[in-house]
Amino acid sequence: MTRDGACFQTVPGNPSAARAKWRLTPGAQMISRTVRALLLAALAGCKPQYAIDNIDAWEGWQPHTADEDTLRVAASLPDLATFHRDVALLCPPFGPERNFGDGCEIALLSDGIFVPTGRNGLMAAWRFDDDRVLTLDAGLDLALDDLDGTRTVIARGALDPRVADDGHRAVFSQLESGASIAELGESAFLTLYDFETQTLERITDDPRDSAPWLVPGSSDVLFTSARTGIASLWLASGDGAVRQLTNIGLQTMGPSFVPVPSRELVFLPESRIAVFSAHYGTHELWSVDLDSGTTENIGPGRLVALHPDGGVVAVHDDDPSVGRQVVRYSVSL
Amino acid sequence: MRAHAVSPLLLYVAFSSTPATAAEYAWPTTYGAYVSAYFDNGGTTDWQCGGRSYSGHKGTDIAGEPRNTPVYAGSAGAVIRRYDGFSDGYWGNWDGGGFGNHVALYHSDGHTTIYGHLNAWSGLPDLYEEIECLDAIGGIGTSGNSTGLHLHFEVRVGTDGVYYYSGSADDPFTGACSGPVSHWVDQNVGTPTQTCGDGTIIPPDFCDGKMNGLWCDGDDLVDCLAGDVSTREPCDHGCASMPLGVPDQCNAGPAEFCDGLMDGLWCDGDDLVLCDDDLTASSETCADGCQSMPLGVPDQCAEDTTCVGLMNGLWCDGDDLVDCLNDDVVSRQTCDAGCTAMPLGVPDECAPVPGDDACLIEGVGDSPTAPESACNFMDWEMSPDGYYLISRFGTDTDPTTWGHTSTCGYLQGHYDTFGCRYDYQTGACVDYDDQIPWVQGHVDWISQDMFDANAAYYPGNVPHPEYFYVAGAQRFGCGATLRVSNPETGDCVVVYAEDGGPGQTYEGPGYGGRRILDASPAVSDYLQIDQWGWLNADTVYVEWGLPGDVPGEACGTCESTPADDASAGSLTPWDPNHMQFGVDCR
Repeated sequence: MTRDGACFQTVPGNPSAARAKWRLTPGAQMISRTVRALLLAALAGCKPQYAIDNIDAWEGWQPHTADEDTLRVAASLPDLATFHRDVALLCPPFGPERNFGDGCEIALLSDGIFVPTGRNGLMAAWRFDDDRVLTLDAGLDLALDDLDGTRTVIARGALDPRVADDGHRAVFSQLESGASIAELGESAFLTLYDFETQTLERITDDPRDSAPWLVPGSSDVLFTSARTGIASLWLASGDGAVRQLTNIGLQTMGPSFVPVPSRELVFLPESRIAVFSAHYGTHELWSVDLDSGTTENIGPGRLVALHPDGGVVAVHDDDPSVGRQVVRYSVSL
Repeated sequence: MRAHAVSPLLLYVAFSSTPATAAEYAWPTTYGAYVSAYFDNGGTTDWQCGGRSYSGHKGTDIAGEPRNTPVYAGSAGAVIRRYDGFSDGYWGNWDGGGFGNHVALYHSDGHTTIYGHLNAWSGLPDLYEEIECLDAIGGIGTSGNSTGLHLHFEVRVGTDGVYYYSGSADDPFTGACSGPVSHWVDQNVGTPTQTCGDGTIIPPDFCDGKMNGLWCDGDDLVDCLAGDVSTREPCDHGCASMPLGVPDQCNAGPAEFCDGLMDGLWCDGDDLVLCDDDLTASSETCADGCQSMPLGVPDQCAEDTTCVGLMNGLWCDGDDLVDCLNDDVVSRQTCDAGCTAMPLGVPDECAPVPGDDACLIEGVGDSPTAPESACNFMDWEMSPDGYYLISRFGTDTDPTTWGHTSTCGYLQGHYDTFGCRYDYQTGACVDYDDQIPWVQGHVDWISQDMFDANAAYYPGNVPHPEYFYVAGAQRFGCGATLRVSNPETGDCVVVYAEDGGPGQTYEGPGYGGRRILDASPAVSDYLQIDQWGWLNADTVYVEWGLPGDVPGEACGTCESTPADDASAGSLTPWDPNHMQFGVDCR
């Protein structure tokens, strides 16, 4: 990587640092500033570099995008747990009593509103690039749901699943016992399911790993692990190698600690930069460059999504004196 | 206090060479917290055979306190695992094996305790650090597989001292549906105390669970702030408890009687007071009242002239029975039931007392707010200690009981082998019956909601928001008149118990019956639920009502001495502090 003038540039073909610069801007201004930034960057001879080896892998990529209005509607849903493309998962407030009742219900976005489907009893729901939804029910069965009602179980004892944006794979934690009840402390391992080959593959062999995310355009898996005693981001490559990305050398919590994602993470288009929301009482957006390990605190926000016009959009409602705001953050690579 | 860290090997050797003793743990967080979900003893059954658990739950969930509320070590031990840095979790999150941020302590008795869902960066100890009982080891959070702020406290027995999850989980509570051994040093019925195995005790702070503001603590006025005592001030003339929402306050001192009076003798009611320099120099109570005299003449004690002109003997003077001798009053006795004048020549006498206890009645009438389906017939009798009423529930073969043609009032199950059912007329034992004088429970909105939801699944059933569900309580008789009190405020209201029966209108299968109380607006308003809510103080005490109690109204005062503190939290139906046995049929 070389520094060229006022911008950062990556060497073509080298899957390393694409550096992000974040700036919070009010809605409409952000667009013009982004366009202007890109124009200025082009004029200056430095343009965004797409540090991806296999560009073909982006075909069919269906990022999680949302505009301000959609996000505003989503954030106003009572009991919203997750929101992915046009699928919202609504969970009643279980509270510490953990009376899960009927579990969570899917609501589908249609004409600007979310319509409950009656499909409930779920713990997780992730949208594919067609009319299918990856669901996890309260019995820890991970299944592929067609919206016409067809349900195909692909794994048991699954927890915390996520679907790849290319729609070909899913990753999740899987209890070693395959049990239908998750007893705290039971070992679980990161697992990948390939929908084309219909095969399950264990990603890592360490039960301290959790919360996996498939990295678009590659076979890499980003995950959280407490292998060092401190929760950190790690990256598993397709060849089985793993490496720690954040909090390297950190033994105890301190000011240099970099948070780990909660349930929300997006990858910037054609990059290896993830933007995630970290929940530690309040909600903060962070970015991490998977190649350089560079991290940056972007600002407050949750329910992060890519904005159709660029940058990311999120909800900021941690300050009751201000109320709920939808915020956009611009980015120049 | 924390000591130095030790190596894993030394840790293992040290603890392995220590003889195993009974596991003894202190309550691992503040007193203001409550158990939101107990250990699952199978079939989502908690230690006291209730349903306050969820499937596969191997710990005790303790909630009700804010983020970062201190979490304490239940006993001395060494840190064999500590994970920190996880974010807030959600249902299904498997960070830290679902525990999120957590600490595991290995104890000398071979047990391990796990403290899960801690808040990140909340002061977790170092790995292999030695911890003393009640050392702070983190703060309450909601990391991992968690849906709200709480502490997951798990006891694991038979561990190897190396792997934190070895051995097996055990319920720390002992009860009818759990193991025979309590892992708490002081289970204190169902609310363990911060008592360590070596006797170290952190008593509850007076302000634990109280709203901010001024509260009476005996004769002290205490200012509570965020659950702690901010200031404490003794009141010279006692402390006055005020209605909820109004700060308690010190009583004002009595006004000085002599202030503004000339020096000399003055009547103050029946007292004759000597005033000097606007102050009371002395005071004497007049046996026959004080007689005010014209201005300038000192007041004086009056003479009892009742007997003047009367023959010697006993005479009625209003409700008093007076013994006269030579125109003087020899003695005066106030009759409890009034004085009966007798024919001339026959000494007057006190009227007979109809019963030894004013509380004694034979039945309680129908509740004015009872639904049509409720039946409400019970016979009552005071317990020998004079505090609790013993209820007798009717059967269709018991002619001594009101409503005997129906079995609606029959108390099912829970037979008490210590006593018998009392035949009011003959004083003989009819048969053995259950007498539950006192129970404890909490209003359980979750279950309430569930019952309402369940109603939709049973044809013909409808939700009944007009009733509270009292979890943790034992069964009440249908239509029973009960007293429900909030131990924090002392507020008490009379309710009646409604009954749908297991699997019926108001209840889901397996949840028992007769725990449903009137939630009419009168009751809700009186308990001021909208002001203080149930979450902060959702424990209610439920005891049998007393004669004259009317559902929807405040508890009356027809009671004598309260039970002692040691038994105040008892769930045991036959607790001798509440029910005294050994007396024939009570």
